[in-house]
Amino acid sequence: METTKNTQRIKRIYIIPAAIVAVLIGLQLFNQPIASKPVTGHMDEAPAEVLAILQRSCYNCHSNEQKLSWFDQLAPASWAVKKDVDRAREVMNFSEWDKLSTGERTGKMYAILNMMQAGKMPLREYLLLHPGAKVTEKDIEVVKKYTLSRSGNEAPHNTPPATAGAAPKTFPVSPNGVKYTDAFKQWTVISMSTLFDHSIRVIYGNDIAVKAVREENFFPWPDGAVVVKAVWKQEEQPDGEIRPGEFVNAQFMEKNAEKYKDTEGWGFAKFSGQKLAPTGKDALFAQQSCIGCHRQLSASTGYLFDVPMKVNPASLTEKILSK
Amino acid sequence: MNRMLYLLLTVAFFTACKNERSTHDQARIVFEPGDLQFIASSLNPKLETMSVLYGNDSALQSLAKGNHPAAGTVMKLVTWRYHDNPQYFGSKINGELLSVETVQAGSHDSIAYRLDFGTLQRPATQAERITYIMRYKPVQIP
Ligand code: HEC
Ligand code: HEC
Repeated sequence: METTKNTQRIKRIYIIPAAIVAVLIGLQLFNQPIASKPVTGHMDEAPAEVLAILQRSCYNCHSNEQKLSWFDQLAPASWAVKKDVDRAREVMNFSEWDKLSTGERTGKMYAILNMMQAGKMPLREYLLLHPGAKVTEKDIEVVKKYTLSRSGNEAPHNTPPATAGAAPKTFPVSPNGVKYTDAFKQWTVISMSTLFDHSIRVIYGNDIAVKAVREENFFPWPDGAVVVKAVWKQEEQPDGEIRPGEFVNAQFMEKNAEKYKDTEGWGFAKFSGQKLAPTGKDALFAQQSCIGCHRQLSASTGYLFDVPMKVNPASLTEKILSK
Repeated sequence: MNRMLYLLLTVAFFTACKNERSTHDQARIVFEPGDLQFIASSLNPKLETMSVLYGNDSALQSLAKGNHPAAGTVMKLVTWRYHDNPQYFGSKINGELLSVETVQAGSHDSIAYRLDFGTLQRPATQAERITYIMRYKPVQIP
């Protein structure tokens, strides 16, 4: 009796791992390799120490030169890896760095620095299995020094000169369906900002957006909220004060949870120059060139960066309103 | 298995994320300009301030043309301290509200000035402030 029970237990002990192994082997049939793509150009302008950090911590996802370990290549882990690599290369690819303009490269360096400082990159779940990819305070200092050196000696703005010409008679539409409207000129100003690229910005909100800011109703922002950021080149006055000069672009974020599912419910759009030319060749542009940053770095305010800072006494609102 | 672990640990990490520091007596305020609309903005790197100029239609007209403001013209200059954007190094954003100034044109070319709220960051006479505010030009948007 005793022995039969034991053999039964032993059998069971072996059957479970055997089944797992069988399933794992089966899963490998569905293993799709990461598409191999050519290297077109590296970040040759950066110092070697900066490159070394990016190669060590970021290249496995943001390049065409993966050095994956065996466990990254086994299903089901490999599925997650492939998904991350596809997505990472879509937003930034260190093997295709030559495709970016000088201004875009500076913009990416700031994005890189911010992601590292916020501890968002490399992705946390990746670090669990690849602890060597963790970035240190020293790495961040190195990247910061280089990033600041780039913006110092750069032309005042990174946008090509706006093409001359009259404003279009009918308003343009972004490829993802966001329509330009000039109604924002009458909306309430929710904040102002500047960026390292020597631009100056004003952020307008419609009534729904303003109400959401005042009530901190960010999780999620209500449908129908629209925020528009107008961007100008900085124009310096003789006394050193800075004013908005030439118009660069107007950027929209329009909340519709149903319509813009892939971009956290926000419809992004950018309309540039006097002609208000929409950015993006198809609806995917927002996924490729907008949401990455907003999702990773401004989630704590519902994916908007320029919500007013929480630094004024609440009583001030009534004071201002009563004037 | 791997994936489960991956998921579980991610969840654990995210729940451990820090919340914004508690600031229950502080608010995110949006200046309410009433009937006035946005006309222009400015940034003063020396004083670390940003300002917005609001006005009514006749303010917009007179500033665009550089004319003397017609009676009934109202302009409000709202000035804020600016800071590094807490969510993005390399960007600045307005923070504390510092002052609200109003300029109002009456009949017979008279112009009244009033400091509605706060203090000026640099001492100036009323006449200086009026001249300063009336030198703003409306921003260009196609
Ligand atoms: C495990 C794969 C992985 C690694 C390793 C990784 N990233 Fe990412 N990265 C991603 C994914 C996925 C996204 C898209 C995030 C999203 O959409 O929310 C992304 C987005 C970004 C973006 C946003 C780009 C944009 O313009 O939208 C930056 C910047 C970035 N990563 C920097 C880095 C840096 C710097 C490192 C190394 C220190 C790094 N990443 C390592 C997967 C990775
Ligand atoms: C590299 C990171 C990054 C990417 C990529 C990015 N943004 Fe932003 N966005 C920011 C930052 C930082 C701010 C706040 C500073 C400012 O005013 O520009 C911002 C602000 C905005 C705002 C004002 C509302 C808010 O979130 O505060 C809009 C609208 C906006 N972005 C639209 C877009 C659009 C459209 C795209 C894609 C074409 C885009 N963004 C891509 C970083 C990014």
